[in-house]
Amino acid sequence: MKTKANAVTSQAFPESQTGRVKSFIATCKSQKALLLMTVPFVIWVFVFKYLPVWGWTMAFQDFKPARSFSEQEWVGFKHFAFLFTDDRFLGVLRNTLAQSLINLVLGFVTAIGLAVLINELTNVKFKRVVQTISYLPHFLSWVVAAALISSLLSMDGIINELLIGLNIIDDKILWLGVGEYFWGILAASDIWKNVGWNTIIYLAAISMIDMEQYEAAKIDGASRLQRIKYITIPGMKPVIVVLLIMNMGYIIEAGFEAQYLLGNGQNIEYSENIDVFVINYGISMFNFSLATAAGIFKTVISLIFLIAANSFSKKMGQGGLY
Amino acid sequence: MLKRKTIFFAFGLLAMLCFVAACSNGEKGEGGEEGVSTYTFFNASSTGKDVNTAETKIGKMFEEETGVNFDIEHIVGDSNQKIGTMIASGEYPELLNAQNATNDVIDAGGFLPLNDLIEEHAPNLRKLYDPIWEKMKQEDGNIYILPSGVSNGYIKPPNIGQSAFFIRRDALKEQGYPQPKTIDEYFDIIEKYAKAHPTINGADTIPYTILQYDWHVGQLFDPPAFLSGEQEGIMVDNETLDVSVHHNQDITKNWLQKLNELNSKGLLDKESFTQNYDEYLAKISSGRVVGWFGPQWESAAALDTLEQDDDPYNDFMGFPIVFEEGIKDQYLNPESYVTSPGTGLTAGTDEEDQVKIIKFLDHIAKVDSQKLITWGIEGETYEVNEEGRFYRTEEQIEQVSNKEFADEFGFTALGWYWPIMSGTFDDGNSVDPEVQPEVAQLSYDEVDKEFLEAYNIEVFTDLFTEPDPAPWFPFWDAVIETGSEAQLYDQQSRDLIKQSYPDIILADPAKFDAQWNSFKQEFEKLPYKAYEQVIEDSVKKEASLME
Repeated sequence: MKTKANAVTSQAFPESQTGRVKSFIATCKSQKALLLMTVPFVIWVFVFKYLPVWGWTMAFQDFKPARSFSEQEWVGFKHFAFLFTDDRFLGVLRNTLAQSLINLVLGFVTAIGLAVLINELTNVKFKRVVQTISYLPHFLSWVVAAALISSLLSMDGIINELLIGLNIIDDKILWLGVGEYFWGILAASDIWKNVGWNTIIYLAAISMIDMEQYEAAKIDGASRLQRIKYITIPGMKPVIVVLLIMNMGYIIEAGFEAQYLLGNGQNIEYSENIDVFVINYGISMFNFSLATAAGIFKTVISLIFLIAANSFSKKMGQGGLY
Repeated sequence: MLKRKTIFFAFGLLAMLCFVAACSNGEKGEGGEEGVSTYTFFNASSTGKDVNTAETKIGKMFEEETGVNFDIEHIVGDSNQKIGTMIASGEYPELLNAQNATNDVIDAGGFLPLNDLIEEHAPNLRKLYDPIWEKMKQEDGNIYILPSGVSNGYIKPPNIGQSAFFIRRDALKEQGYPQPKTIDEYFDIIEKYAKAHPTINGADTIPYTILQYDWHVGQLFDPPAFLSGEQEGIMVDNETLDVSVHHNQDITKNWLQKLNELNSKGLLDKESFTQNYDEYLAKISSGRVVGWFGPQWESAAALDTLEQDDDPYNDFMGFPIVFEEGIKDQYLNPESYVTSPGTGLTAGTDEEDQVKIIKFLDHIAKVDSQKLITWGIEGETYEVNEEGRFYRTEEQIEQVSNKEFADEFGFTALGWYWPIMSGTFDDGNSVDPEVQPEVAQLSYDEVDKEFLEAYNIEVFTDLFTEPDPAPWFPFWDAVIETGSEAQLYDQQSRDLIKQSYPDIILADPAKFDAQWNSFKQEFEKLPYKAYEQVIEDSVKKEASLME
């Protein structure tokens, strides 16, 4: 992130001196305050993102916490082999990707939609109220949210009462007891919880759009819908692309709390994702090596998705992250 | 400019100082008074309020005698994670009860061997643990942890604390106090009652519910064994000491078949397999449930609510149900010799502190102290009659059942999790006051007595057969190695069963056999033989050590 900021600012200074090295040093000098400010973050990234990579060695050992590094027993790819040959793992992988993709697509569409709608509101008070209400659930912990959701969906819950009252269903449905519904429930809960929060960044993007464009369009006789279609959405595009690329990197992180808390024996076929699997078979069995192996696998997948999304977006002429 | 810099610097320094001060506060140190040492006891087996022992009445007495007190800290959240962090960092509180992670702490060298310390400094502890001294030794011959509840003579508890099939009292009263013996008779009572009362307090009646959440799986997993007259949720032949799991056996099929029938009659709670522990407790305490199986302690929080409300007939009574007449029920626990989890001294404790702590534990192990932490102070929380029998007056029973009083007095902080006996004292009094017949009978109210009379019994466990001695009991303290096949089975079988049993139970009765067969096939793939072997080895070893 920071290096990017530097790159941007250095571009702002035209090359007036001869030789790139000289100019680089000069830029550094002139921006030493900025550089100094990035130092803590570079250290932070190094300590928390690069040093732990050393811990990957655990994945190739039968790691026991008490032993020192030289005493650990090396086992090669044993834990990866276990991971990929386990019958459950394929299902787990499917769940992770499916949950993630559904969340990603619906999350984007709803957040962008809501942002556009909120932007079109003219009554400021109403706008603020809608915004506040829609992003409040974001601050609920998943533990609380899961309790709410499971009581809404219980046999005597309001969802069943409502659907029966409206004659949509005849018998009460045990929503969390039917595996096939789980992805939908998860996506709906996730949207309810995060849609308001996710709109903030899009609203910021919209506010960057020059008002003159709207005025000009109005004079040219563009309707409201046309203004949204031709000004607002194209104006948001760079932000959408950046967020999409970054989110592609997280595609294998389908979240953990919601699946863990709402999952049960009856929907486990659809609820168990990689993180839940790692908790059950790795951490809580003190099998840190397996957990690490799963972590490495996740990193590799994330990297592939990130690079793919980035080059795809460059090809589409949108400019990538790097 | 310079001035601003100085201010910044001063702030930074101040922040650093605060940080350092805050850290050193957490370090162990001398307590407020001179000569008193304060240590930390981290208890991962129990949740509760953190407290210093010297803030309680008994704890203060102990402090005066030994010059030691403890800050007791309890687990918040997942114990394996917390203990895992301790193991990884190598920093432990002086005393530790590591619950399920006990073996991992031992593996990591986190506990100190106690053999010599006890032999040298703690004669009372040595005496208290004599019955299980050999059994407490790990493979390397060292003793690392001191379990609670060392058996000293068997005494039958008057009330059910462990597993039973429970049924709403109102159902029994209405049907003329029947005594169900078989599972069919039991479900019949429930069926009749549920038909007569479609709603209770305005809400739908729940005829039979099952809790199956996280590690709370006994309500679904264990009945096949209990219904066949076993002592726990696993099959142990008391003569040959052969061990087998029962999930793939016909008894399990029978049990699931009964539940399948129950479900097809609409008597099984549909939410059985999706509810979490809190929802289950709320359900029980709403008084709408007619029957359930499980250990009493698992539902104790809900049962207490029912007991304290105005309706004495919405309480539950437990029965030792078996598959067929003629099977001897074995629901009550035999005299047991649990060796794990327990409390141990951790590595990194100074030698001087080790001695102080072990002497404190030794002081607790004295018979007088044992009476203090169980019965309290004579004349205050209990009385002694001419024959030397301990009893409590009704006021005293009331008083000690008050949680605040128990906290202040120290019954909560000192007691279980410290070195403590179970069973009887040498003078014949029960260690646990609630098990003393004199106390139990006094605490029965009018309606309790109505039921005791109706069934012609003196205490509620009189319906149960006395347990056969089982020197291996319980099986679950067996050491299952990290990363072993047996450990993998434990997790995999749980996952498979949690997923398959609901399908089998909720299936159309015509498809029951097909569902069962497909589960059995899946189960046969699991390494259950390895698990059986580990348990069997442990059972045999324990049995031989107790001879």
